Parts: sequence; C-alpha cells; structure tokens
Amino acid sequence: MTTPVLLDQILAPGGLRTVFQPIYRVAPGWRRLHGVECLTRGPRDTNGESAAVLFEYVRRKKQETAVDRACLVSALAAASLLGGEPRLSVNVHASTLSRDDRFPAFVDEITRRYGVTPERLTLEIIEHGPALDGLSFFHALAALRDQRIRIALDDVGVGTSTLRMMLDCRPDYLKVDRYFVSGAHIDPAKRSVLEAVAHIAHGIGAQVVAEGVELAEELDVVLETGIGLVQGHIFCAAVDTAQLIEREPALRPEFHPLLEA
Amino acid sequence: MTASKILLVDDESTILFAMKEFFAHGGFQVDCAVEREEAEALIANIIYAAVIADLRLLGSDSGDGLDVVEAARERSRDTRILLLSAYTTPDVEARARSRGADVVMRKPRPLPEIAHCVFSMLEGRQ
Repeated sequence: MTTPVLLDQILAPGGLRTVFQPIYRVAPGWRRLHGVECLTRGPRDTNGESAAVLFEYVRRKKQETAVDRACLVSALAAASLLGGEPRLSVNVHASTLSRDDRFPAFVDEITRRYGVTPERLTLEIIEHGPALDGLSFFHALAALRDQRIRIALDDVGVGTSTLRMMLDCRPDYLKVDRYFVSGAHIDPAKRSVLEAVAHIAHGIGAQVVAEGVELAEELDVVLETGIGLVQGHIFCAAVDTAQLIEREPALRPEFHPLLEA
Repeated sequence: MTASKILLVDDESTILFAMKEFFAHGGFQVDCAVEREEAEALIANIIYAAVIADLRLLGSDSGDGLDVVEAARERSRDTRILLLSAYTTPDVEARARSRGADVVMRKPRPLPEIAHCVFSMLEGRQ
C-alpha cells in the first residue's frame, strides 16, 4: 500500500492553514497595529505541520510556485474574516517571481476575489539571493509595484539575503531576522547590525521591521536604533483568527455573511 | 542531540506503520517519511539518533534512499544509519557505506532483528 505524498495533501482544498502575527508600530510607552503577517501551516498530522519542514520540503520538491499560490489564497481567505482592513503580509519565494510570469496577474485576481485593495498587501520575498540572476524576477517585481503591491525583503541578514538585493529591489520594508534581535541587549555586535540595517533602510526609503522580539530589553535596543516596527512574542505569538480578534478588537468583523446562521 | 528521535523512511505505508508502532513501543519518538524530499526536509530541521531508510523510495527507480543516507550523514556524524534494501549487492553496499550508512541490511527482515541492529548501533555510539 502506498502512502499519499505530502505535496498532494498540501495542495488539496483546505490543506493549508493560515495563522496571523501582528506587526506593531512602537514608540516608548505606545504601540499601534501596523498590519498582520499571514503565516502558513501545513496539513494537520503531517510533517508539514511544522512551517520549517513544510517549506524545506516544498523547496526540495521545486514546488514553490504552486505552494506560494496556495498560501496566498489561504492567507487572503482567512484574512477576509477580519474587519478593520488591516495591512496583510504574505511570504513568497523569489523563485516564484522568477519562474511564474503569471504570478502578478494571479495576485491581482486573488486580491479582487477577497476584496483586498492592493495597498493593503505586502509580499515578503524569501530566499531572495538566487533571484539576482534573473531579469524575470525584476519584471515580476515591477508588475507588482504597478499594481501598488508593497514589497518586503524577509530574513534580512541571514541565509541568501544580500546587500545588493536591498538596492535592486528597493523594498518598502526590510525585515531584519530574529537572529540579530535575540540577545541584542547583551551583544553590542548585534546592536551594531540593527543600527546598520536601520541606517541602510533610511537611505533607501524603506521601513524596518524587527522580527522575533521577545524581551523588553530587546525592544529597548530595537527602539534605540530607530527601528519602529516590531513583530514578536513580546506582543503576540502567531494566533488563529479568533485569537487575533480577541487581542485586537479593531479587527472584529462588523458583519460577515459567514457568521450568519 | 535528541537521543530518542528516530526517522523511518519507506514508501510502503504498511511497513512504515508497523515499524513506527514497534519503535514507539520501544521508547523512541518516531518520525516517518515516504519520500526522499520529505525525509531530507526533516533531517534539515531535526537531528536524529537513528535513521532507517529503504533504498528505493516513491517515484524513484533506483537509489533515493542513498540520498537520504547522505543527507543524514552530512547533518550529523552521530546519527546511526541503517539502509534496508531488497536489492542488496556488494556494489549497493559499497555505495551506501561511502555515503554514510553504518549498516546495510537485506529485507525483508523481522522487526525485532532490525530493532536489535538499531539498538546495537546506538549502544556502540555511546
């Protein structure tokens, strides 16, 4: 007897789930919701339940394009249950922009389907190093910008990210990886990296999001370096729709047909 | 090192289920994968005490199990690796060992015999 492969389970209707993590604009003693990142979880009771395993598997299967499309649909469908029209961030592989020349049109179709205005959507580009080789990547980026979609570079400072990508993409956001945030209050070198990223962002007209902020001391360092957008457990873990609404009542739907009996 | 974690890689769900039950009863935390890519994704994120892989996996005609062996060995020198195959030849065995397998075993074999081999490898590691 042959077991169903994970990819089939991922791409089956309802195979992917979306959870949300808020991103806040923060100043000392003050914070305001800036947007929410839509994070994908794979099918329950499979190895893909772990996001790290899910996307490692997808990349090894070279199925980033199909799964990125499925993630976008899952994310915007889940977000359509929220009120308040928050900004939404969704991850997309750089390779999807390189290989799938219909992706910008697909984004346009899906945002219309779920009533998300383009200005509300940020695509967070992950695994972006290899994309430097391809003109098609930059064509896709330009098409998305023409649609008024915002662009973020994710995982800045680790993995395949490069300084050149910051210049060539001219992103709206730089998301500095949690590696540089964790323990920044006791490691001056990490603080220096945060300061450098903030400085670069200022120079290219981008905003910085500090990811993985967990401690008040880390938050202090982040704010001192001039980074004003914060994501992390210090404020909220990744939560489902109901939990998000409980934490952020402004996202409570005033009315939604799905809530009718 | 997560001492009690074990990864089973086989595209036959009946074999996988039986092995999972057996090793879980033996006190292991057991992960299962039916494809090479799934096994490699797990190995990239988890260090296993032992990996038991079939040579031939879903969608492959030859030796995807060897890629799993190599991925597990690159991830950790301490992982004990057992390759199972119905097609064991001196050539396969040599290739498996060169890519990091500790033991190559012809299948089918009774589960207690496979378990005994795994326990022996783990004890040897300690």
